[in-house]
Amino acid sequence: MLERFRKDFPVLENNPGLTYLDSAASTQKPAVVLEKMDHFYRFDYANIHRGLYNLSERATASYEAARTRIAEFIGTAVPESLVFTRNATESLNLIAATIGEQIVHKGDEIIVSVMEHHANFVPWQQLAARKDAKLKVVGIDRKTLELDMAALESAITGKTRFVCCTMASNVLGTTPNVAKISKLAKKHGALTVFDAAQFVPHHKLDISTFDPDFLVLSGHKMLAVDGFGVLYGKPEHLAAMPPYMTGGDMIENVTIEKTTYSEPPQKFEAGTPFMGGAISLHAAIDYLENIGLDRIQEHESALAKLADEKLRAIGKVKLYRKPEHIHNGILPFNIEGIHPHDVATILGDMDICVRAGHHCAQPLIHFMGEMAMVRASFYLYNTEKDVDRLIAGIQKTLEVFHK
Amino acid sequence: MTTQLDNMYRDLILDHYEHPRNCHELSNVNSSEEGFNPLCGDHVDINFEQKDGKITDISVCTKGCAICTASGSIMSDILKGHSVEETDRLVKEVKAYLKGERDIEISNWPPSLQALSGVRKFPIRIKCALLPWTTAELALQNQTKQK
Repeated sequence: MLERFRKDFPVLENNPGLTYLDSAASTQKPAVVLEKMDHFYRFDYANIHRGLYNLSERATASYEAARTRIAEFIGTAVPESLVFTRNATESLNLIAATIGEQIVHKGDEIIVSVMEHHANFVPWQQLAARKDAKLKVVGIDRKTLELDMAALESAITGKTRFVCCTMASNVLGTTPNVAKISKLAKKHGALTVFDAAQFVPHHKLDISTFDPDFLVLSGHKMLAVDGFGVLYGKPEHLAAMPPYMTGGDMIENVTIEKTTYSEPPQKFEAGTPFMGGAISLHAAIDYLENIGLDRIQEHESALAKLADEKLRAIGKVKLYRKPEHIHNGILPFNIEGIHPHDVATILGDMDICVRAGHHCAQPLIHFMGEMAMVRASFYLYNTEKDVDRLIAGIQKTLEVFHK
Repeated sequence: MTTQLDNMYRDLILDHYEHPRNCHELSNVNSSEEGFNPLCGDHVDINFEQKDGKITDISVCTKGCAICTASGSIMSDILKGHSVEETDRLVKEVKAYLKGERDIEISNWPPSLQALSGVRKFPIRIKCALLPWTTAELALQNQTKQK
């Protein structure tokens, strides 16, 4: 279906025989993304926002064009509501360290789901500890793997300052109903923080439909290069928040006595930023939209369902998602009596790349009663051949362990 | 499958994984330590019973991968009956060997211990094999401190 796009990815072309099923950790990069970055550094590069010459103006224009494109892609008409960071993790830490410090006080509450990546868990746990506030963790239904909305409804109170939730679990692929969460949070005067890092590569995102207070994503999970992330914040929040880091590029006026700061988003972008990262995400979004996120989602879900079906047929494989709940390429599983790290080592020996371990989501893995899981994640460049190779790898694993 | 992989997952290793030895209650615990591998969640719990400078009994309980579990089980078989000094020397030697820090002649090692050598070709998995040994070393240090 999308097979003709596979050749766009140099790593896959340069490693024939490689079955890459770890896109949920990081995606490969299409040549066009690398070329656009390369072109920028060869033709348009200079430091931005201050050079009084044409080259710097061009660099600034490319950097800001990326902001406009990303804003349009996620569904906001206000590019200034996007702050560029190193990754989703930095975006989340920025929120916790600025507005989090401002509005969370002793006895307040922060709600997170049990399926958060550590990046959307630890900053809130630590903020709660610093402020003597309470961290409330909302569970999931072990059968459907859906967020327990009833538990969220009973956990939220007038003291809740933040509701922090993933938009797509990096382990289970679960996509909570963000519109419902957002509505509930608003009713109680709590701010929402959505981690879209695992959502945007696979699903169409339109924030105008659920009006989050904050939302974060990472470029490297959606075909852009690593080291570039985005923080969306409502303009009124960004305006009221103190800076996260101080220094060059974020000031309005500095005297020996005091400093005044630029307006957002510059206020949060101290120092020379990663321009190439912005250019790469711009190109990645063009590439993704050219194929169409609907088609990507359909393609990867079909592969995950096919793998699910074939793994079930083998037996001895524990699959956590019900086939009817699979609507992206994320497929967690375990083999009875074989540790995930042994599974991944044997698959790795056959050039099949999967992830094994706690997937930076230990609270979830423990909630599921496991110590670790194997995760295969399919993306637009995977094919049915990759599914077949995974199945052959699992059969080999069973053979090695005499199962 | 490569021979390197075959060499790591030998039947002896798999047997120790399926049937780990010496995970049991000790009547007297003189030193103990818990070890974690934060990357993969491996967990090992080690207890020593000692008398007159000798390891009279040992308990090693592991929750983890085949390599970590087998390594802990093999270790538990070997250390029993040794003097604390010998044990400390052997633990340091095995650690150095697994890490590839220096050339160590292993032909005089017990066959089960030699079976761990296959892991050296898999750098990421060396830490799985090391965990019981580093934990044992810490347990013995705790004991020394208690004196």
